[in-house]
This record gives sequence, C-alpha cells and structure tokens, in this order.
Amino acid sequence: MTPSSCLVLFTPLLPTAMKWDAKRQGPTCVQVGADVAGRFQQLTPDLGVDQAFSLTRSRFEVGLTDNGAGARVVWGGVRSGGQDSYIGVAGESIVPQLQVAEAQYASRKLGATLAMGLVDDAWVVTGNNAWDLRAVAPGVGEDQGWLERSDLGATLAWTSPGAWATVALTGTSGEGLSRRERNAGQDTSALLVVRPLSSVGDPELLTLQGWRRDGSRGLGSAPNHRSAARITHRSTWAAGGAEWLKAEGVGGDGARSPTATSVYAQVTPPMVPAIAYLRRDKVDEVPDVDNTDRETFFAGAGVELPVDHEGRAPARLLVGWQRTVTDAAVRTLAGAGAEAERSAIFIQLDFRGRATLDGVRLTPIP
Amino acid sequence: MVRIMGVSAVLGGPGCAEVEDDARAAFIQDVLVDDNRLWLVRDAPKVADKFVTMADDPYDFMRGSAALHFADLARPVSGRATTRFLNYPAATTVLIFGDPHPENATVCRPDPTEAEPDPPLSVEFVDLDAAGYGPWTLDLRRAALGLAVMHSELPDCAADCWEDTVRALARGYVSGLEPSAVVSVPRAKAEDTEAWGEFFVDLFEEAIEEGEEQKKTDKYAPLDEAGIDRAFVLGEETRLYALTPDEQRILATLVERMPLPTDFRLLAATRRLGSGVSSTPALRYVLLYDLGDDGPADDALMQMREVIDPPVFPGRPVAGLGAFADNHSRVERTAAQLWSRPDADPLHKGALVDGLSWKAVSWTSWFQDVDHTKVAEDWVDDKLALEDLLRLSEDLGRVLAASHARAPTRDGMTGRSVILDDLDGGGGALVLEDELVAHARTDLDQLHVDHDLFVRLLDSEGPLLGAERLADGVVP
Repeated sequence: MTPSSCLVLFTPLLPTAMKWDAKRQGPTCVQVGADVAGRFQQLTPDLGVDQAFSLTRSRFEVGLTDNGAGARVVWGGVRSGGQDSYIGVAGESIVPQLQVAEAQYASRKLGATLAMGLVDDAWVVTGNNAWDLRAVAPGVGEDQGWLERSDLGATLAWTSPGAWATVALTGTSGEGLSRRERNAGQDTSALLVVRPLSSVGDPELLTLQGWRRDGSRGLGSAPNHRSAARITHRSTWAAGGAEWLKAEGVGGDGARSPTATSVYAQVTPPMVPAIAYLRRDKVDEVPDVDNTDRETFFAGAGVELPVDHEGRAPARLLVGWQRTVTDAAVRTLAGAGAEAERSAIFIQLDFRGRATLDGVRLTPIP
Repeated sequence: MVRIMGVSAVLGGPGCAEVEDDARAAFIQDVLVDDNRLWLVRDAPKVADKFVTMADDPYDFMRGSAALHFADLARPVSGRATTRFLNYPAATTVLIFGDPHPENATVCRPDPTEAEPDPPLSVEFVDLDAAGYGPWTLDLRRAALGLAVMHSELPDCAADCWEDTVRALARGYVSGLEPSAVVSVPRAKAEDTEAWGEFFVDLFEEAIEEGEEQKKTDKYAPLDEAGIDRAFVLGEETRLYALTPDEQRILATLVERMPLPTDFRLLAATRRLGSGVSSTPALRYVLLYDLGDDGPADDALMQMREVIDPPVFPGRPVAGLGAFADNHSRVERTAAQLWSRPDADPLHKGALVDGLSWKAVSWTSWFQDVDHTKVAEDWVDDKLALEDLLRLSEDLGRVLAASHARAPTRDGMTGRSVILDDLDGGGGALVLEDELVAHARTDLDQLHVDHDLFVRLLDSEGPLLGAERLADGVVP
C-alpha cells in the first residue's frame, strides 16, 4: 500500500489507507497484467475425456490512472457454448469475456475509492487475495457456483488511517457477470476487513473479514443472500486462512440454503524457489440434515520460475491433486454410486505478472 | 433488497406455503427462460406460443420442460427419491434418448429396395434432439413420467391403474435387454402379431394403409384437378406458410448440403409453424419432393428442422463428455446406433447451414406416432382397455431397452453388458420396478405442482414468463 505505487490494477475494494495530508491522490501511470495457466490433467473415474489439456486461467488486465481518476478493464477467456453445448462462437472457441470494466476515483486524502461499471464481487476478490492459487481452483464460493467474479454495479470503499480497517459497500444487479439484469431489485452488500496487527507490522499479517449480501436473482427475484466470515494470514513465506460462507438461495433456487467452510495454507520457503499448498472445502448442502456433505481436498507442490528470480517469481510449475467425496443424498442423481468420488491429478504451468509504465502523460478524450 | 414477484403477488400476500410456491415459481421461471434463451432472442412470439401449448395440457408441459425435470433432479436438497442403480461409472455414459416420452415413439419403415422390397416396420424413438451419453435410468425415469402423465389424465385411471403401466414399462425394459427382443415386425404379419400390443398393431395398420395411399402428402399438398401437380395448402389449418426470401436462401443451401436420395427433385417448400412442443420455435421447413418420376406416385414430404443443444443430464460424475462434433452429427450418429437399423428413417441426415445444425426427416404416413390425445379418446370410447395400456407400456420399455442395449457406451463398451451389470448390482428387476414407480409418483406430483405454478406465472408475469423485462445493462 505504498502511496506512490501504481495500484490501478489493485481492487478498489481495498483502497490505500487514508492520509489527509497527501499531496496527490495517486500517480499517473498505466499498468498491464497477465495471469495465464495451462494444465494437463487425468481425471477419475476415467470416463470420456479423462485426460485433457485445459486453460485454467487466461486473464489479461489493463488500467490507467491519473491523480486518482482511472479505469480498469479485465478480460478472461471462456469456452463459448460451455461444457455441454455445441452452439458457440466459431465452433466452440475460447472467447474473451469482459470480467471487470470500471471507472474509478480514488482519494488518497480520504482513503476512499468509488468504482462503477462491471465491478468486483467483494468476497471473491478478497478471497483471491487470501487463497493465492486461483489458477489451481477458485475459492469455495465461486467453485460451488454460489458467487461470481463480478457484477454490474458500484463500489464505495474506505480504508482507515493506518489501514487497520476497510469498509466497502456495493450495489449490484445481482445477476453476475454473464447474465442480463432480470429483476428490478438491486443487491447490496457490505464488507468489513479488520487488520488488528497493522500498528505493529504488515497489515496483512492478520485480517478478520466479514461480509453480508442481501440479494435477489432471476426473473422471480429469488433470494440470493450470502453471509460470510474469514480469517487470513500472510507473511513473506506463508499464507493461509479459514472461511465460512452461508448461502440463502443459489442460482435462482430460493429453497437451497447450503453452507461451506474452507481451510487453506500455502508455503513459499524463503531459501528455495518452491511452493506447496493444502486446502479442504466442506460443503453442507442441507445443514439441518445429516450426511448431505461434499468434501474436496486439494494438495500440490511446485517450483517457482525462474529459479534465480529475486523475490517472488512470476511463474510456477505445479503438480497437484484433488479429490471430491459426495454424500449419496446430494449427488446430482440422489444415491448414484458412480458420483460418490472423483479425483484429478494435474501438472500446471502458470504465469502472473504486471508491468507498469510510470511517467506517462494522460489526456482526457475530448 | 429483494422484490418478491412470484405467485403470491396474484394471490394477495405470502403465507408459508405461498413463500414455498414463490421459491419454486422463481426456479421454474429461471430454468424455462434460460432453456428458451436462444429462441427468445430470435423469435419470442414462437416461445410464447410454446408456453401456451404447455399451459393447456400437463402432457405438453412435460414435453416442453425436460430441462426443468433434469434441473430439479439435480438439486442437492434433502428428501429426494434415491436410486439403487448407477453404481458403475460406465452406467452413467450409456447412449440415451434424453426424452423418450411415449409420443416420441414412432412406427418407422425403411425405403423398399430391390434386395428388400417389403422392409419390416419397426418402432423407434425418433426424436433425438435430446440424445447423448448419460445414465440409463434417466431415460426410464423420463419415459415413466411420460406414461404417468398420459395415463393419470385418463378418466378412472387412478394411481393403481397408471402405476401398473409404469411397472409394465419396467418389465418391458428388462425383457428388452435380451438380444432376441422384438423391435420390428415383418409387413406381412404387422396386422396380426402377438409380439406387439393392440395399440401398436393398430399403428402398423394405419402406417400400411395410409402410407400406401400417400395420405399425408395428399392432405398437405393435394394433387390438382388434372392429377399431375401438387401444391401446398397454406394457412392456419395446415400451419404451413410461404417462405421468406431469407428462408428460401437457407433452404437452397440446405438442399445443396444435405445428403439427399439419388434423383431427389425439390418440387415445393414451406415453413411449418406450431409443430411439436419443445421445438415449437425451431426453424422447420416442409419439402415436397420426388425421385424423378413425372407422375405423383413417388411424391413425398419431408421436413428439415433446426437442432439445438440437448438438455444437461444429471447423474454424470464428469462433465463435458465431448462426444460429438456438433448437433447434427450428434443426432445422425445416435440414430445410427440407437435405432434397430440406421435407415429406419431413410431420410434422417444432418447438415450445417448459417452456423445452425439441421436434420432432415421423413414426413409421410408410413411414420405413425403415439398420440396422447388419441389414447385418451380411445380410452373414453372403450377402444382401449387397461390391458392395452399395459401392453403399450411394455412395448415402449422393450424398445427403449433394446436401443440402449445395442448402442456402445461413450467408451465403447456394449450398452447391454453395462446395464445388466448395473441392474444386477442395484438389486435386479423387481427393485427397478419398485424404484421406477416410486420415482414416477414423485415426479408426477412435482409436475402437477409445477404445471399449476407455470399457468399462474403466465398470468402474473406475461406470455414470456417475464423474459419481456430482461434489461441489457449495456449502452452501446
């Protein structure tokens, strides 16, 4: 959170700390970023296409800012037509999907940012910051289809002096990034991030986060509320967290109220260019009834590339494993034994990096 | 902030049951609008026509809501009917029809040839729009629901009556797994066979009688007074309409690309509207053609229709089996593998035009469908008794199983061995029978609830279930 840094690609949900005597609201700069991961995986049970290459991450971002006023645009690749469709673009090509497109104004003096457009989902983005391996798997909420990366709307966020707390309020359409607005109700959400150790060290050493969304989805305005809490830690060589998420209504189905917990940790030892991670997600589809769970375990390790890079290297070669076990009552056909368990092993190469152009001159378009 | 806009709005305030109704109504609304999204963008009035058809008749609602049925089965909520089958992964990748309801069963006749001047008649599930690799029990469950809706609507056919027909379907299915299962009948014996129930014997008779006299061709494209040329009867009664210039262009390309019989000559073409239920809004052309004879003897009708994506099947441990190149290849390949012979409908082919998948099918009186309204009429007129319904159900089960059994699974195993193993592992034929009846009860109850909510939604939300209100949120 260095004030002079170019942070236009950093989510405005977490603005830099308030500093009333700041001379400027921010630098003038342009940033581009890329986050790309390719994978080869072997699935079990070995049905159909059980060995396959896939593009697990393909994100390109660009932002420009001048004295606090800026814009950020993020594209990600998606398979047109989806998994089960034969109707797509030029066959079923991978096409760019606009994931974020927001105009923003950040006031360093106030520690506040306002963004409008296709804006980040507060819980997904803060989750991505905590679970640093989005290219391995999205956070539990997104993985289950309970949350989406972004939505049409607006965000107003504030970070206190000393960065001990951030508050973000958002208002969005509620339909997510891939569907048109279907009802006149707007989602509202509030995020609170507290960093109790900010006065003694890096504010991210320990964070406590809470989030609540009051939402609706679909033509019938089905309830789509969320409540969540998270605790995270990040230091030079380790990161991890634990979180709880409760959904009231999922994907237009107002009768579903599942909960999920996720615990994760990753280690990047300072002496060797390596990374290792573990994660366990537990989803309880019907919390009032026993044996309605789905559990997923993730584990993996890899090397950071280039190995002689100073600090965190931009690329990683990972070998990973994941296994999901689903109780009989909540399989897609209740009781079907074939759905009880599935697993995957994979090898993945990913790259994440950003480039900054300082000293540029921005001029408004007349 | 949530605005409840479901049925409670028209009922005057949400009580406890109404809140449940609201949640269910919202679910129905979303699933059905998404299922028709492609057509809503292109031809919303046809989607409204489809919804009217679905509202008028629970059977037609069932036909138009396979996506809802499957989405409902896949909901991870408590209290769902469980299965004792599908314990082997391969049992979830059997080649299935996706929607083998009774009206999808059709008497078929291949074209006569020198080697086979009098080909046998067979019964096939001809509509393969929903076909793909999935759990074998899903087809049975969908067929059982079709029978349950059709038969439970009959006067004096209460639960003990229609449940027996579902049991007959299960028994027929198990017998159809035998390699010797009867799926066709020689023409000479078609009107006097013990191998089929009375219902299909009547359809065989109709196929032979009306096929030979070109009844459908005469109805839709009668001969002129000279008895030489035919012209389509356009209008409300036939639901045939003149082609627009753009449709003429598409049709010309279709005729060029579709593998059609040698000596095929296109004589005339029209657009057909309001046909089918699920595919009501699909582009559908009727072609009058002959095979080179200047007289009317070889005149016949065929249809060319757009094919879109199948519904997503629940019950598969892996998503995206990536089995077909496109939708027309899908229906062509599945026909070749599921039907008793690939030329059961000799015109069944596919082609790609303007980025859309199309299929060609015969449209003559040699092809006779099961019709649920005819079943109801015959039942009321005492032309059908419970025994006939049981035989009809058993015949349908046998045809369904024989198709599953002969087709290879996604990974090339024989359907028969995979299903027999899974049937055995799940407890056998009697367990299947009991389970199918239990599932049919649940599914039928849910269908009636959903149909009532759907009708109310059309009243409260509009003819497109509220899709009229979709707001883009993007200003160019």
